[in-house]
Order: sequence, then structure tokens, then C-alpha cells
Amino acid sequence: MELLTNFASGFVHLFSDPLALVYFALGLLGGLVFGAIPGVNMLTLGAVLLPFTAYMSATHAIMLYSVIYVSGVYGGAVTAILFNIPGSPENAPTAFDGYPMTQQGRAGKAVGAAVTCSALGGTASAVVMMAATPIVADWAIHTFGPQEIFALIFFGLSVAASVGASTLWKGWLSVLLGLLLATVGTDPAGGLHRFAFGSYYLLAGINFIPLILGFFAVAEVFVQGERLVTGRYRAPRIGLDFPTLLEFWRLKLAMARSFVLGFFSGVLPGIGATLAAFMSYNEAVRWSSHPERFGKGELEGVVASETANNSATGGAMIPLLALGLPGGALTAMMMGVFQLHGMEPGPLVLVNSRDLVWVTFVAMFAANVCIFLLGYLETKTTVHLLRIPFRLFAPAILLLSTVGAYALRNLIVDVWVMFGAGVLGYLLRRTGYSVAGIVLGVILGDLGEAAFVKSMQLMHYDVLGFFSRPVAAILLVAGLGTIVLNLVRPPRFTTEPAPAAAVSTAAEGATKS
Amino acid sequence: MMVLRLTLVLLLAFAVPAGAEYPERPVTLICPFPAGGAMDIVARGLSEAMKKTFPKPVAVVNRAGAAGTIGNAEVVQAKPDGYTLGISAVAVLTVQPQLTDLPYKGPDTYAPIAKLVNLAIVLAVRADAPWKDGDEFLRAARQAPGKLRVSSPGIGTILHLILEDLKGRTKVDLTHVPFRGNGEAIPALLGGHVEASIVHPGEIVPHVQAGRARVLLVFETKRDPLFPDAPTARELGHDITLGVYYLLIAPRGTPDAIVQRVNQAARAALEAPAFVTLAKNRGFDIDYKGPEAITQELWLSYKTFGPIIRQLGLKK
Repeated sequence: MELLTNFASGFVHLFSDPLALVYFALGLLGGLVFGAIPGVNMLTLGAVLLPFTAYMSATHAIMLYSVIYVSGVYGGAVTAILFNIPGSPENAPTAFDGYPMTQQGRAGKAVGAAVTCSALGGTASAVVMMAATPIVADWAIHTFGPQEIFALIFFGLSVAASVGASTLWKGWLSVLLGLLLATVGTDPAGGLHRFAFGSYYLLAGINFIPLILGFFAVAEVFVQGERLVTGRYRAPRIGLDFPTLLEFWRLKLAMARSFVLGFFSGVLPGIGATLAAFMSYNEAVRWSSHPERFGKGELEGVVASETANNSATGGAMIPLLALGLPGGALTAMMMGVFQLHGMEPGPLVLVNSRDLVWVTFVAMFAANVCIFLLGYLETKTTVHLLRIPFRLFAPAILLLSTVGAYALRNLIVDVWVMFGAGVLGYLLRRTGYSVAGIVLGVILGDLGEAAFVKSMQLMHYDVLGFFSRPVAAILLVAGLGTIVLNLVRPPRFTTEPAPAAAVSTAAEGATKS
Repeated sequence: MMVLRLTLVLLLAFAVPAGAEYPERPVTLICPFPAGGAMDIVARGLSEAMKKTFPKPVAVVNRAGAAGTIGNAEVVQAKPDGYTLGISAVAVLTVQPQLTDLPYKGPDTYAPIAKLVNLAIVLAVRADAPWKDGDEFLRAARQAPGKLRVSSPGIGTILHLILEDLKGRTKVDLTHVPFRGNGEAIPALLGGHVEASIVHPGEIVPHVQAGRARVLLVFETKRDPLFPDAPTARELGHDITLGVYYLLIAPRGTPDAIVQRVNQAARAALEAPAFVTLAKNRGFDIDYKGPEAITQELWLSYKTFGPIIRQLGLKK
């Protein structure tokens, strides 16, 4: 009951304050736009706005950041689906299946699913966040140390080979290549230089964003360009159909699972929305009865990724508000906003600043509802961008990607990484390897290695220590089990000819029909 | 305030006859760490406060990567015309060049402009830990060599080197666990995955106030008013008084008049009420030093860290 009164009071506070509504609207639009444009993301917007928060009330500022968070993790989904350009890293797994769906003339369904699932996941996470705050955070930091995080990532990686490749072995080689790329830079254990070839640019490691822009957007331009030249290009049919209720109902388990996983990833320090999307995608593959369809236009892939990244937003607010522990970059900025106003997030904020907390909760709830409404409009409008002939659109994609890769850190080396990844991605796709697998390997490898090294140091280099921790042990055994099971009984991969990329073949098949 | 304005007027008057009217256009301030981090907040706060003390805007550009060396290298290689300046930290300038070959080395390979802020360093444990102060902690560690695990925010950070310095001087074996920043290390401390953490006061104060953490030892010249019960390392007979500091730099060869002009503007900005509030809320101690004094401090840090780095075998 108290929950409802608090919610109502937050609702009244938000909607009776015109200035708060202005910030709400600006945050919503800002997050959408910054989320959608590659190279900038909600973090860029957050950093630019940080000095101005000194002139706002703490309630307005925190509310603004939470709205940016909610719309920022959704914003990149549309570009990921329509053009294979994930606007933000959180949306990269959305492109795995979203773009092939566009190629098959099912863009409306993909965008519709992304919108609906983002809104549902986000709303559900806002509700759970309101109900569960302090206990969850305390439990999470005690139960999940580096050992459990490593085990969780290992568990996730164990299915990565099933995504998008033409055979299980090519899937594994793709993932291993990703893991190899993740080792470039300074090693997390002793600060050794690996594969840096004397370049201090490479010491920082290969950045993830230019890599996904190259593997997805640039490689796609090459693939379609080749078709244009050889006369095999067919424009995708424009599909405006929203997914039906029945389609959503069939995926209800996937949505629930992605929600739990996403929310939980948000709560864990250092995991956050991007990892949430990737892990949730992996689980969708694991539990599906036909994992071989993933990476080739499976609606469930979009559902898993977009439900999870928005579910993470509510989760991430919990350790911040309950314990003063920001788990990611955007929540760290919110921490900065609190401190700028001389407040310290923690149990005291929950008691002393009820208005702030509830206005924020209500704003996150409302932002998710608005995403659904705006997103529905978007489904009916942005999809028409596909009518632009590809030969006109390709230069724009290349330009946008180049600017995006450069704007990230203002380093020209990132542009070279992007084009390198573009060429590599093109060649690998033509030979039946999976760029999705590589990307999974890079992002999970980086975090997994860091967690593994920390675990070993914490356990004084006793590897059996993993098995004295029940959560870690279960996850590791389950991960090993998946790998063995896949080797004994490989998933049925489609019997298409290897030379053509899996994605494109499926696409051609659909456009012809 | 009056004196300040007068100084500014005089300085402007002095700069004009020198030929170029610096600054004629906006100045770029390269921050070698990501947007939203501690240094970025200082950079943006300073840039905002300098609006009143500097005639052209100071635009903060983030060029993050490789522990700050990428952005820093860009500053030292820029044209020394005063239009590319950098904000940097002691570790980027005095530790990193002793680890790797970089386009800069000692403080004579760039032009230090002004020291801005200082961040103290402390050793913290959970509130329910059995040790009441640093002495008890070190004694417990001596009895069980290597058993106590202490986090740092990363390899080669000043906080890591302080831990190693402590280990070396006390001959106590502590297991060092580097995290990716204290944003990850503090949850590990509170969650019971490490026994102690090396942190900045601003990072741990909220948890001390909430009764979840306790500070056992401070690496300052005198006791920290925030943690009056925690002895300094010096009190325990280990002379470790190192902090992290942020400063402004320019490429070597930047005309002295320009260095002085920026220095004066920055000095005035550090006194602006908005910046003072920002520093107080974020746990930075404003600690202005002019070009000569900061150059000396950099040399001191550079020479202190050299032996520690060699001893640790960190040099590649």
C-alpha cells in the first residue's frame, strides 16, 4: 500500500512541475537521439550536461539522468535493425537478428518487438526497483564476487559458438578470434603489453565500438556493394507489420528470462546494460529449440537483447540509491550529480529524500511508457527510410560510421580499426564465420579475463577455489556441460552452401519469396 | 578580488606588447580520461570557472586510453602556441613514462603550468573488520603473510604504488588485487571479497558515514579531519605521504608569457565559489602551485616512483 502512495506522490510531484516535465521531455529525446547516432551515446550526453546540473535541483538532475538512461539504451535499436549500425554498444546484439529480419522484409516486426520489449522490460524493472531496493543490492555485492562474474561470463560464452556461423567449428573459431582480439593491450594481471607492437595506442586495447561499426555497418556495405556490382542485389521488401500479440505470447518465457537476467546484470557492479543484452542473447540461444536460427533473423534474438538492456536500467539504480555504489559509467555520473548537490546516495537518501527517489522512479516508469508510444510511431515512419536506394545510402552509412568511430575518443586509429574490421568482417562472412561470435568473444573475453585474473589473485592462485563457491561452481559446471553437449550432439545448422554468408543467404531466400 | 582583477589587467597589458594577443581563439584542454570521471569533472569545472578569468572559452576534449598516456602524448606533441593545453595527473606524468616509451619523459619534456587539486589516499576496511587501526592491521598481516587481500584501482596507479611502498617498508606481505577503478573495488570491499582497499577519501566517506566501512590508515602528513581516529603512516614509523594531484600542462617551448597567462587564469578560477563548492563536494583539496613549484613537485614524484617501479619489475 505504501508503495502505491509513494508512487502516487511521485507522480503528482513530476506532473505538477512544468520544469520537471520539460527536463523529462528533453531527456527522453536527448537519450533517443544520442543513443541512435553511432559514436556518441548517452554517456556523451551525460558528460556534456554534467556542469549544468549544478544549476538544477537535485531532483530534476537525477530524474533527467535516469530518463536519459532509459531512452539511451533503447535509442540505438532502430539503427541497429534497419541499417546494421548499432547506435550504442547496448544495442549490438539487437543487430544480430534485427538486421537479417530487415533483409527478409520483416523490419516492422523487428522494430516493433524492440520497442515493445524495451518498454516492457524497462517498466517491469522500474516496478521491481521500486519494491525491492536495499535487500537486492546488499545480497548482490555479497554473493557476486569476481569468481561468480567469471563463472557467469564463462557460462554465457559456452553457447556463443552457436550464433550465426555455418558450422559449430566455424562458430567456435569466430568466438576464439574474438577472445584473441580481446587480449590486445595491457594485460589485467601484471600490466604486460600484448600484441601492441610498440604502439601505445594499442596499449589501451581495441575499442569495442569501432569494432562493431566495422563488423556490422562497414562489412554490410561491402556485402551489398558486391551484390550491386554483380547484379544480384534486391532491395528488401518494406515490412511495416507490427508483431502480433500471438507472437509476443509465444515469446513470453524468453521475455521473462531476459528481464530477470537484464535486471540482475544491472545490479551487479561492472556488468550493466551492454553485458545484459549479450548475456540475455546467449541464453535465448541456449534455451531455444532451434539455436541454429539465431543470427539469421530470429525474432527471439531481438526480444532477448532489447528486453534485457532496458531491464538493466532499473537494476543499475539499486546499488546506486541503496548503497551509493555506481555500477557503470552513467550511474557514476549520477553519483557525481548527487555529490555536486552535497548529497550522498545511500540508505539516507532513501529516507531523507523520498521525493527525489520517487520522482525518479516515476520518471523512469513514464519514460518507458513514452518509449512505447514514440516507438510505435517510429515503426510506422523510420522503416520507410529503407526506400532510399542502397547505392545512395551506402556512402551515408560509411560516413556516419567513420564519424562515429572517430568521435568516440577523437583518435584516427579507431577509424583504421573500423575499416580493418569491415574488411575482415566481409571476408569472414563470405566464408561462413560469424561476426556475432567474434563480437561476443571480444566483449565477454575482455571482462571474463579481468574477472578470472582477479579471482585467481583473490583465491591465492588455487583454481579449485571456484568450486568451493556454490554459485560459481554451478555456473561453471553448467557451462562445461553445454560445451560437451554441443560437441556430442551438434546443433543442426542450416545446410546452405558455405561460401555465402549465413545472414545474406537467409535474406535472399526471403526476398525472392 | 580587487587584487586579482588588477593582476589580470596588468597581465593583459603586459601580454599585448609582446605581439600576439593570446588568446585570439578558443583554447583546447585535452583531458586524457573519459567524460564523467574524476579528472573530467575537474577539467569541466575549471573550464566553467575560467569563463570569468580568461577571455576565450576553454573547450574540454576527452582523449582517453592507455592510462591517460594517449591524451597526454597528444598535448606534449602539439604546437606550443598555447592553444592546446592538457590536464593531467601525477601518475600519467611520472609513472607511465618510466614504464613505457612515450613521447614524454621527465618534467623537462613538457611545460607544467599550475597544480590544481590534491586527492589524499587512505586504507579502508569494512566496519565489521577486527582491526581497529593501521597498526593492528599490519600486525595481523605480518602473522599471516599474503593472506590479507588489498585492492587497488589498477596496476601502476599511485594507489597501487603506495601499497607496494607500504609492503616494502613494513616488510609485510599483502596480496595485491588490481581492479578496474575503485568503482569496482569498493563493492568488492563491502561485499567481503577483499579485506582492505586503497581509496581516496571522497570515495569512501559515504560508506564510512553509513557505517559500512572504516578508515585505518592515512598517507598524509597529518591526520585527516574526516577520519580523526586513523593514524598516519608516518605515526607508525613509515614515511609514506603521497597523494594524487591534477595539474595543467602545455607542450615544451610554449612561450613563458602564455604559461603565465594561463596560470593566472587558472589560479583565479580555483578560487571561484562554484569551483570551491565542486571540490568540496567531490573530495578534492584545492592546492594551487605555480609553474616552478609544481615542476619541483613533479621531479620529486618522478624520482620517488623510479625505484619502486624497478623494484616491482613493472618496467617493460
